Amino acid sequence: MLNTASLIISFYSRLEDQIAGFYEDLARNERYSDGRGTFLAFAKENKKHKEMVQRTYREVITDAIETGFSFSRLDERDYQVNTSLIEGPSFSDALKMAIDIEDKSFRFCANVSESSKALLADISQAFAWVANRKAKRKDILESLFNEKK
Amino acid sequence: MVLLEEPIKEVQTLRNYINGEWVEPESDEFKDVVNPATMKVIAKVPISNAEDVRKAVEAAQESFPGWRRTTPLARARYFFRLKEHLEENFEEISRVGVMEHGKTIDESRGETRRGIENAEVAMGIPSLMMGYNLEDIARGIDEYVIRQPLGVFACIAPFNFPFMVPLWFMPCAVATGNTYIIKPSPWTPLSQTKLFELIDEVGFPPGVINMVHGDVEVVNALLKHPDVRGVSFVGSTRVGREIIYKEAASQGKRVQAQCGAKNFIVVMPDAVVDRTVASLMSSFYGNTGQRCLSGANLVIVGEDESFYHSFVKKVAETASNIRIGYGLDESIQMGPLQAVVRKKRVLRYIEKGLEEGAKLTLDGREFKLVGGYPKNCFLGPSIFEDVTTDMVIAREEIFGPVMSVIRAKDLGQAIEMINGSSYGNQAAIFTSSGRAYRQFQYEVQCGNIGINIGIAAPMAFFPFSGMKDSFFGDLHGQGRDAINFFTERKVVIVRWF
Repeated sequence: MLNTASLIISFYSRLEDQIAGFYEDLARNERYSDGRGTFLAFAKENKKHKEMVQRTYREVITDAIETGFSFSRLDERDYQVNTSLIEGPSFSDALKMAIDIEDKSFRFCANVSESSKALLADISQAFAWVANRKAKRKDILESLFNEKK
Repeated sequence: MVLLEEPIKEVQTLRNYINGEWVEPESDEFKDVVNPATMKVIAKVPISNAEDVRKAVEAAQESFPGWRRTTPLARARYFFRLKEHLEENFEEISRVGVMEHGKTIDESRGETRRGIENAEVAMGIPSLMMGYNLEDIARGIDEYVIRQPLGVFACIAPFNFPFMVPLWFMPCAVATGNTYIIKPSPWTPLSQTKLFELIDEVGFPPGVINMVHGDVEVVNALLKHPDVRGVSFVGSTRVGREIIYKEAASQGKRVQAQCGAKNFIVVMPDAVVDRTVASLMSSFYGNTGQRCLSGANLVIVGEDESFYHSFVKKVAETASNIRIGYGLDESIQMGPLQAVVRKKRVLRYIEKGLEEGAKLTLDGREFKLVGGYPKNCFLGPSIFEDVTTDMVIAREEIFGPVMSVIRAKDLGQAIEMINGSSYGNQAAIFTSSGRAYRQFQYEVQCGNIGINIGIAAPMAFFPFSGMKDSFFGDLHGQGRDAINFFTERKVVIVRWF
């Protein structure tokens, strides 16, 4: 269970690293060259988001706010993403994976934002911003997927 | 359970930092520093003596004239560099804080951030230190005020915020041109040691900032030394009033003694319950109740039985689910008390509450500990109901995770209770009513007021206020008070013939 600010930030950071690695792997593979530009941009953005959220946490945290008690317990199992490309999916299947990843990470960020809104407003705002971007990324991937159908 | 990596791998033998060098103490007495979660010894701290203090004061006194003449801009730039070093070492400092004190990693990072913020404020000293003037106070005559540093200042630090508290004072003192000596708590000297490693790397001129580890002898020597011009203290009321304030003031030193507390948190029937409960957890149980702004007495206002019972039930349920363990496990919400002696003190108060007839709704003596750590310093959250303001548990500072629930028929009675306390550090109200808020902040005799805030801890640019038995002196730490405390205001009247 993710019940503290520290745990949330750590989980989120690992998630962004994992997703960035996924897009970098896609971008390196000739099979998915049609999406290379998008994948590289997404990977870069994942790192930027992670940096922004970590920075927000570190710069607004004080001993006086409710970092230990602000989150209704989020179950990390609900937000695990599959980034394995071992089976060499087709471009369409890789896009489906990416859409699922964006969807789960969007839900994670949106839920963190909602549950921290009352007490950790800056962190809530940062996650809301990232969630918003993730929703847009999902739209971009869906457009790409529809083009390839 | 995954632990964050411990930054302290082996037992360190600490030294003093005097005149820009790490030096062995004159005394050969050392005290073990123990990680209260694991009960492992993590350092040995010297219990220095008066001779060590003499050397530190001499170094600080000698460096004062040169440091004073260093321009405020140049002095501020040292703090820019220190801030950079602090940011780079943010995580290590925070984890050291967990190891020496027992607090959770979130709490420790919060403490580190607050410390850094004080260094940031000191960067603005060229503006903050400005005087003021008025021309033509009489025809052709002008008058102005300049601020000047005084000399050597000292900080006597507590165990509960070992990294942050010295930074409430030192950056402002040094940036205004004074020189400084810090005496960390011998219970928690490691984060200060880390700070001084960074001070050394920054390269402050020798003697400008010094550290002497130790205990009572060091305190007494600092208080009695004629070249120490002022003392900042954070600790108990007994020591602050009877020793620090009296001794320092009798010698003509400036003194600010921020002392104990018994903080009331008032919940009105119109409070937003879920948010209030989360905030109360942090207020009463954050830092394991070991802070002078901790909630201690929870006053529930009104005669609505159903509100009272449902609210207390929710508080008790939430408190009973707090995860207790080693603060380097990120899922932990409450760490151990800082030492066995502190746990014993809290246990005595729990016994006292029972003797006095209060109802122990949640018994912190029974709790689930995450991880297989020794229970020596751990204690769960406790809640007493049926508490009245004449009981010892409602009057004395427990300094642990104990909540005493008191009922008041209306806000006026709640405010009477607060103002009847000998302490005046913090009070908070949870309400949706602007009228109640205004009455509260207007009438309550406390230095720090929270409105829907459980820990009203002033930021670095505001004074950390406190009244009655919670503060002795007139100028508080932080904010404009600190600038006044660390500078002499000299008035100049000018006429040219």
